[in-house]
Amino acid sequence: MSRSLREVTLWSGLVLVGMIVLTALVAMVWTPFDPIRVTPERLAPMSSRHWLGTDAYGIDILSQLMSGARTCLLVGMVSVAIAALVGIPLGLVIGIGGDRWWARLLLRISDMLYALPALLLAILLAAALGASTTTAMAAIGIATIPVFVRMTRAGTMQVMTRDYVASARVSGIGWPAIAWQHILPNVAPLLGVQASVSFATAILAEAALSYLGLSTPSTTPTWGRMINEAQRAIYTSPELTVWPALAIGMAVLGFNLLGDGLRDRLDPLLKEVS
Amino acid sequence: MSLFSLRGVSREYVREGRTTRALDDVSLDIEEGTQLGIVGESGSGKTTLIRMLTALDQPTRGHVLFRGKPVASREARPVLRSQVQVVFQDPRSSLDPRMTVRRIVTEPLRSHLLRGRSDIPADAHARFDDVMDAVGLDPEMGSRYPHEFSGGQRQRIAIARALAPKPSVLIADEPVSALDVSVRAQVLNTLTGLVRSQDLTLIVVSHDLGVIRHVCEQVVVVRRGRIVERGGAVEVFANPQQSYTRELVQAMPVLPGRTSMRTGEGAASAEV
Amino acid sequence: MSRRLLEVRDLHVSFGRSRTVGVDEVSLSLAAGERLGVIGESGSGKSVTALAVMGLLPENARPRGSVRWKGIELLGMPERRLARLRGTQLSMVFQEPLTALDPTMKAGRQVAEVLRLHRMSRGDTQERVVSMLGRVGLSEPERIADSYPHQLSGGQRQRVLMAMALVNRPELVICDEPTTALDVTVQKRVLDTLDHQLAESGAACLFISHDLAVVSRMAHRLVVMRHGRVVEAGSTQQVLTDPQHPYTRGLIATADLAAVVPGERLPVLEDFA
Repeated sequence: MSRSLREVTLWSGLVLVGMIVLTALVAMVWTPFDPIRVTPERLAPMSSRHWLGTDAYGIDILSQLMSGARTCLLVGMVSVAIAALVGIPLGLVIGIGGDRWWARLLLRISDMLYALPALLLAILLAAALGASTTTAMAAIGIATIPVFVRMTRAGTMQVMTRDYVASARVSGIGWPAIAWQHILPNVAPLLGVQASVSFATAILAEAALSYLGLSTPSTTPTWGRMINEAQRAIYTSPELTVWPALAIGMAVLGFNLLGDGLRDRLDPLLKEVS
Repeated sequence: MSLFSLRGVSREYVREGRTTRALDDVSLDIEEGTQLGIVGESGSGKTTLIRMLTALDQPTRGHVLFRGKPVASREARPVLRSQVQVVFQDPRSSLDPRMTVRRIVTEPLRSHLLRGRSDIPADAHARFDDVMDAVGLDPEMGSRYPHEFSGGQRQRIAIARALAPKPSVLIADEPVSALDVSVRAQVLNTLTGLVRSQDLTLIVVSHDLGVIRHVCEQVVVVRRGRIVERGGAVEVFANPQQSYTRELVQAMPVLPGRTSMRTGEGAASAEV
Repeated sequence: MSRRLLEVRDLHVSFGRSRTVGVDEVSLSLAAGERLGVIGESGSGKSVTALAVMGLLPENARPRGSVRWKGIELLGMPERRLARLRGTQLSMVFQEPLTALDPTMKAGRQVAEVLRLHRMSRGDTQERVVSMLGRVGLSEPERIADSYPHQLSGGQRQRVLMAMALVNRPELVICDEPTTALDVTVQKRVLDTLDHQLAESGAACLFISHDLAVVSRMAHRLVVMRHGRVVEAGSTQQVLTDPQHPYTRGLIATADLAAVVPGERLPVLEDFA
């Protein structure tokens, strides 16, 4: 792939993600209409008043989309943070442990978690604790932990072969300091890429969960539930499904492009690991 | 008491069900104050030997003693970590690309094993200036990153780091094989100068007998995990007893038309 | 038409938007069967020159000047025509065999691939591959052909690369630091084989290295490069015995460890500035 095309990937990712972040920020203080209040203006077409029309309950679509961006980013951020905060230290420990039995055991446990779909986890959590944004975030976050474990472990093992690690060991520098000063800074770019890609996956997972009613309650709009509700009017107003689907598509594409763009930029390091 | 004693040391690796023996029943005494060369091809076990001496790896059988105590023991470890330093082959790998030169060089001083010990320089800044001077680099360059230096300079940075905790033993693993021939001399001059001025025990590992001959007085030749020949470097070089050693001597690249101090056979120039 | 096989004139290569100069005003030429050594330190532009001849420069490089192969200009030649030249008439042995070989493909198939790309029916490919591997000094060619690169030693990998470079009987083989990653003992054996194969096939060779001892063993003529420019050129004999440029004198002095009494200060390049 040519250099300019790579730059295009990175920049289009940044623009898409930037647009969503901006929308979410604006939605925190202002939306054209109340995104949850039912009005008699049902299924209004696109107009200068309702840019994207209204849904079957007479709620402004654009306002719902804007508000949904907030939920989507919140879920993405929190779940990726959970996964990173647990997965990165665990990956470091397993990577440093190498071939030792406890490291292999931890890796197997992480792999078992990998085999457990986020959806199943969300159903279990929702059954136990009730469906909420928190359970969705927890389910997606926990399900993403193994991804970070694997990535961090791969990067760590790569850095472990470097002689600067051996040099530090020869000087009596302990493992925590080696992990903090040598390994983490050198695998950080790798993890940045992973975070971006995981963000996209998290957004998709959240959409799926809220579509199934396993996430945020109806007091806050989400893109997934917008699709679910639009489904009821699919024969009369099929365009209602288009808007939230487009928003999800844009967000997922944006974070994936951003991740790919970063990956290409940091190519030399990543090539060694993968 | 010897500085290092290896007694019947073997190291086996098991990979994909196959056992390979990197070291095979090696016994060796290394005395304080010597300059010892360990020469052999890649895969001969010379790097494994260094990992044993520095307790980066443990032998499958046998013992490695540092001043009479097992290297991995509680008594030996802190002393070993402060007194024995290693310079690795490739400075691209041995210097963390994300650290400044100052942080790299002073890293050994931050070791918790060494902190507060009286024989360790307390003032990291002053020590940094000292060791950079010792390897012929400008201490003003401390805020730069490794990639801003040439290969020879980077290797001297690695030497500066090794010198920081005032070690009594310096181990160099192929210190010039990753460098251009034309900058090899800088690094070797730095090493020989240090040995003379700082009273260091020097252990150099190399596949190039010419390098060993220049910086070491004693040499052991390692092949397939065993020591096949040992003696004074110049003698072994001039009059190798084993055919393997002879092969090493003959393989050294020389300039055509130059009379080199090779084997006593005098037939060396046939190469040209 | 010129009798020269390869004629590089005023080659200038810059990189990227900043136009970093890699090679500046380099001219050299090679007759059929001749061996030219290029000596220089890393960053001297010797590899860039080789890549320019092979048409393998990275995309951000801008070459100017002229590289003629049997009178035909190679700079700006469409990739498809260049690709046909490479592997049949021109070939290259790289420094690091582990990255130059495909880790997922058996050695024999990689040699066969080069062969198949350019001629031959399937039938005798296998035979020719094994005989080529034997000719580059691999003692069990059948077993080597059936091995993956990671199962081979550094010297064996370098020989496989050599087999790939020689199998189509090219007229010019470019060797870029072919033995730098190897031990001295393996280096000697690999160079012996290369020497023999070049002599046998009559191919010309552009031999690049930072090691003067290695280059002068392989080449009839020498080109000394520094900072992207040619600072001295002449027959190997002449350059070694009567160097004109101080830098060349420095290279000669630093190349010979054995000329200095053990433990004494070795001459460094700066002494000759």
